[in-house]
Amino acid sequence: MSTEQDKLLAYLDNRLSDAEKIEVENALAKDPALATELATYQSMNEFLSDQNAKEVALRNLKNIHAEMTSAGKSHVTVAVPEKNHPLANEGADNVDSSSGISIKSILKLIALVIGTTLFFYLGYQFINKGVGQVKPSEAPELLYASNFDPDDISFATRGEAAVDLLADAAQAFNAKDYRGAVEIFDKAISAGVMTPRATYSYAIALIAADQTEQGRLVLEELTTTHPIYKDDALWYIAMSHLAEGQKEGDNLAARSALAKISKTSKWYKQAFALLDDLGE
Amino acid sequence: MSERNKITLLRAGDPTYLRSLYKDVLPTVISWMIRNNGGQDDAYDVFQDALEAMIHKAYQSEPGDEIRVEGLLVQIAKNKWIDKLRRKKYDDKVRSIEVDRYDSEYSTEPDIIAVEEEQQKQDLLATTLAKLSDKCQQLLKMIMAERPTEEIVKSLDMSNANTMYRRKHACMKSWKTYIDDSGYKQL
Repeated sequence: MSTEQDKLLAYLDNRLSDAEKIEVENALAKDPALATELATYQSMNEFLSDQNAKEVALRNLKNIHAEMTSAGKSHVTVAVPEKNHPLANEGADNVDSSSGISIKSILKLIALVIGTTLFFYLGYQFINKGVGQVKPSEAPELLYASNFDPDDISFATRGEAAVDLLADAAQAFNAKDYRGAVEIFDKAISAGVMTPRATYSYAIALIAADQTEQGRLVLEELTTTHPIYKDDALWYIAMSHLAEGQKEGDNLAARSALAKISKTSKWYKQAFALLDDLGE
Repeated sequence: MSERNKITLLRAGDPTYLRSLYKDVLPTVISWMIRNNGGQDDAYDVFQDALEAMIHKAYQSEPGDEIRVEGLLVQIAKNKWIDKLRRKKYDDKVRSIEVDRYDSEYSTEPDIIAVEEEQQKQDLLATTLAKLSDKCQQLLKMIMAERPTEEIVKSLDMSNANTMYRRKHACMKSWKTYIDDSGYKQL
């Protein structure tokens, strides 16, 4: 049984020889129970492969929900619950009916203000204590030019026509036609075929195509949805700040991102050297 | 916009499209909720839940499927509110709504069942995946995130790609055991 399952998994991973594939396919045709096993493994694979894109979609929903909830409360009349509202204890009674603003929303707003202030304060403290004063350094644009060197990319095909978009984007990206790559990635986003790796590459292409702020937003989102990309994202977030180096303060932002790259990352040595170039 | 395009936008979680659903469909849900023992906060909650279920459904839909997104969304939101009331044992209130539940322009009942079954299936896959060891989850997540094989091998301290696939298969088999034990085949 174990051998059969291993063969099914290897079949799904496309790691069998042609002769072995035919053997598995013949067995599947004869054995409905084995075909059911394969279907379950396929569902699991689909779940894993969809999970990335689905996480992004659900995250977008969460953000839009917060945005629309907050916007809705400001101009939509709040329905004051009836006295016998069955779920009165679940939040509807937390509404201040005179102002139309829920107490929960006010508490959330206060927490947000405190959190944001604390975040910037701690970030400022960290940069000053952990990295030191910024010393005169090379022009950030030059450092950007000498450090921005993305590897070539490629995407595994899954036999779906839409995935051709990613192959086309990779081709443009590898030819350093970053604007072209961005255009194709945009189409891939609309087609819903983006993967985390494609999203990461898209962000790099945006930065290279002078859409640094948008690229940075994509990377920041990626660090939340796929922490596996955190260090890679931090590196390119730093690159995005260096690319905008003419703006005051971007040096600090780049240093802050570089200082967060973990020691186990492949970027660590390069980040350490770059921090040195940017200041103490 | 065609229903197929709407499904594509749902799969991508397209912010513009999601905002348009809040703007165009949510008021219908709010209005119905207010008439059925709910309030605006409840409406926002069930609408978010319904949209989440629709996103799961969008991933399972095939090009030929006929799904009317807005109509189905309203029905799912209503269903979720009824279920919420039922869980709180407000059966008398539920009974008065039940009539309205099936009194819509077109029968969405098979679609609602399909959406709810899909959500149950997705929840089960997620719950059972979470039972795997951290290393197994990390390996499967790295593979699904398309990290290069060499990087996965190095970061998870494996000797080579063959070891990686052997471990992946072991993780998949453990996961499947949890799924089988949870009654996945009945879904």
